[in-house]
Amino acid sequence: MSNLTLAHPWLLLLLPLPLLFWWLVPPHSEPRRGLVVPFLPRLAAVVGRDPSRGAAVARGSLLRWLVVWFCWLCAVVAVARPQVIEPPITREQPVRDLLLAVDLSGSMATRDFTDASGETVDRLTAVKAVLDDFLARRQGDRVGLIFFGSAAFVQAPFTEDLQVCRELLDEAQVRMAGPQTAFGDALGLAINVFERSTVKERVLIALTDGNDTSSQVPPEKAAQIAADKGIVIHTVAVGDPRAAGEDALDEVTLKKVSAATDGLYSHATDRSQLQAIYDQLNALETRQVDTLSQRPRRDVYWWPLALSLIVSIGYLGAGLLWRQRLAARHLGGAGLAAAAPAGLLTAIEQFHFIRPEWLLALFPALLLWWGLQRQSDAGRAWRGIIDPHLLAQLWGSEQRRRRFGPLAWIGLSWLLLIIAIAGPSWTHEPSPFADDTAALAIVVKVSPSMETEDVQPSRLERATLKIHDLLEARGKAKTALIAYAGSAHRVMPATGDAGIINTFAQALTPEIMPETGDAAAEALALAEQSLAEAGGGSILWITDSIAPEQAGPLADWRKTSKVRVRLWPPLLPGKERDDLEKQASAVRASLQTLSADDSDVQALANAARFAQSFGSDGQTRWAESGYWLTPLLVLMTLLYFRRGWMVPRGVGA
Amino acid sequence: MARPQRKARDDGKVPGAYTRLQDLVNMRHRARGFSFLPRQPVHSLLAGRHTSRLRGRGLNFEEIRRYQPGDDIRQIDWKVTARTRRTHSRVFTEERERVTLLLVDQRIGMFFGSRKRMKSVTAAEAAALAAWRVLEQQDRVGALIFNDSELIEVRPQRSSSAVMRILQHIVEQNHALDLQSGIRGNPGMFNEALRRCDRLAKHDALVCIISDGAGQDEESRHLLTRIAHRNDVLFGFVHDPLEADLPAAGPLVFEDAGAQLEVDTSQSRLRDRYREDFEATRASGRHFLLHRETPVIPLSTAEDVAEQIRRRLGGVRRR
Repeated sequence: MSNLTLAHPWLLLLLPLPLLFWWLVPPHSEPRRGLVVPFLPRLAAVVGRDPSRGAAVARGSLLRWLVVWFCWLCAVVAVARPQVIEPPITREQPVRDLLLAVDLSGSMATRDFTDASGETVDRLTAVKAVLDDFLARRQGDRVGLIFFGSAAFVQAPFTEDLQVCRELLDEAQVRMAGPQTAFGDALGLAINVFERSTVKERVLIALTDGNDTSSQVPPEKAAQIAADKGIVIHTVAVGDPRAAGEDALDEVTLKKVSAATDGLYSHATDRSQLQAIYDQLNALETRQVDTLSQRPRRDVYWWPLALSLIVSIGYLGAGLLWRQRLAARHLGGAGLAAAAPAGLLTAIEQFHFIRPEWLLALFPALLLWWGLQRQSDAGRAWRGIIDPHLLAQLWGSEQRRRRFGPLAWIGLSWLLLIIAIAGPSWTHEPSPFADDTAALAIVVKVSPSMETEDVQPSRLERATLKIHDLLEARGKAKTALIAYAGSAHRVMPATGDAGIINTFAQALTPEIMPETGDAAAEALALAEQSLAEAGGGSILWITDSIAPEQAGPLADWRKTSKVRVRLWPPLLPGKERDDLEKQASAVRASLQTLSADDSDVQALANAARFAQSFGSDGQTRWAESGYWLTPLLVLMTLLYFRRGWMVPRGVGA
Repeated sequence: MARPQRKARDDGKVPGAYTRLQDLVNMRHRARGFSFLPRQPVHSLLAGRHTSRLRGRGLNFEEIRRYQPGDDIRQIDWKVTARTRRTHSRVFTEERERVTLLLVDQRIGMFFGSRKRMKSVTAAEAAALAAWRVLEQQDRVGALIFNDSELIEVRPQRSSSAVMRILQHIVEQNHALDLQSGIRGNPGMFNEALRRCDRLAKHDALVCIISDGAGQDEESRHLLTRIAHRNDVLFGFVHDPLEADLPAAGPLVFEDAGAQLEVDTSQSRLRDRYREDFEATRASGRHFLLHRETPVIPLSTAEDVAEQIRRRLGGVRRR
């Protein structure tokens, strides 16, 4: 494999080390238990060999040396840290800023638009259909959303999260921004927004019926300014060009605007013309996508380790079977084996094995070790031959059982090997695209009481500042924002774009809430829904009070939900907070007190990171910690090069 | 590791590995069904051609007395009858005080056994049986009990206390046997015992050698020939099944005096050679002994001693 590399190839220099070890370390001799017989000289004469004095230094067969050398090679290769370089993971960094200006004036409600399937729909629906199609093709661009009616406002600042854009677009209603059309002002706003953007390629797509009715700046003038700023405006006309009257389509203005900025004019029904806009976006402004590429290295130290495990177990196991001739006996207890590691795994939350199936190897290893242990007692063979009460009297030299003889070592090495192969892990590998933290839904109560200034500058503002810090600490983790008072609203579905949430959080004031009151349970349910869409996470609840009548609904919600809730009241210690705490016990929320420094933010960011995740992110990658066992394994393997350091193979010659 | 041996040393000797005085005394009741006397049962090893030299009863002249009905007419002394004109017959009595000498081997080489009991225990039991039997026959019994370092002589006497003394010595030497005590085997003791026996048994004694015959050489053959010339010799050959035949049990570690030998007993060729070697040694020994009209009673450790003796010297052959 060409993309297999060694992280520390210089460690291969260790390869000849066993020679030195073999040469320098004194031989190991292990006395075995023998039966004292009076006829030894006669037996020796029959066998034709002289009895050896004391314990002999065991000598390995050629096969044994081959196996040991192979295991050594594997161990050294493993410690040199072989890694597979995976195909590069790229992440595209947006280089283009697209602004979508959507007309929400009263005229957009006119049902004069025939869509692809021939049905007559209102103009806004048509706009949404066009934009849905458009956004689906704009992966890798930053998209902002401007709604305009009597006035123009930024619905979404530039964000890479196109999904959020589409959702925000879906929520758009006709006359949301007033009944009139301030197309010129929208262009002006767009120019303003682009001013703050650092990207060179600036494209505005205006979707309108073009009938400017209330602009302070006429569209043509605004287009002129835009052209000076290097902004390209594509216009997409929505509506029936044959219609007349107040709501008629002003194709002329739109064409002028697009022509002034070298943009294209298209009609929303004209698919070929729309395609031309897309093509121009793709082709003219060459898709300069900065690709953040990373070739992750996957540790495969366990490949050689697994090889050496298989070879060593195979060699010793085959020897054992051959000697004991118990080939017929199969290793039973597979069912037992399957159950045990599973229980082990659930027990430890963060600590787990990447390849737990290898832990099953513990069973054959254990069985083999037990077999070796049994037969390592040279005296065992005598048991059937000599009556036990006599045998006890007839042992010769005591078999000095070393606590850590070769047999114990091989057992230990197997254990370490299997653990290393199974890949213990408890930390995530640092990913350049940190998406591996669980989502967080921030539920904020936006009521007049939140404006109390006992906490400086005010409870709500303090909360907003803390949210800002928290979002910063969470990096690109997904966060949703829910505001509630008498009703609950999803301000922002879960998005990885911290900036957009920040913007929205800062805009939260009690005035924008349609109803006063307390809809805490509703808000939490909404938050849970957002989390489910984002793949799971936890809820952060910022409130200064819980209405007593909410206790029932909250308890009901708690019964059906398992989402973890953290309560973060922007309150100073006192009676108010104690009361809140009491009431919050209905949802079993854990409390995070407000702190002057950012310790509370750090604590929350940490806690939210490890919130229970329902779905896997796919980008999660656990760090292989088993590699750090390999140096130990190298040392253990080295021991087997000591002369005479052999796993007692029964009493074979 | 808690070795059973340590335990054994603490609370007495393990039966089978060591003999006990009580067991040897109890042998008295089992000393039946065989005889060392000249009139031998038909199936006895001592019956037949080779045993005619075993001198017995009826040779010692007791007295001349008046003929009584029932007396053998061949025993009538004609000269005395003629002189006294009354019928007299000569009365011979049994040879009551014949000496039996037991040579009991308790050397470290006898401290071995694979089934039931040690060779040393087998020897002790056989000696006890013989001693009790001889006492029963109103003969005198003496013993030479030897191990690797000492030779104890018990003068022939006809009393149970003498037998008890013999048994006592046997038990003492038996209990001194221990592989861990560092006893070095001394093959020369066999000849030493034979030399002493040669001096002790002047004539017409029954010499019972109870040993595995380890350490025999030209000199011992020479000594045996001399002893057998004037006495009757009975050889109780104590052996263990493992000495005769190796089991097929894979690699085994044999040891003696600190030296180890690993033998793969799964080779049948090796086992055959081993068996043949044992048979050959035994056959040559038996041939030599029979040539000197010395019967051999093989005593296996795996079987009951009294049973084995009875089978060889007794009347009823038990199958």
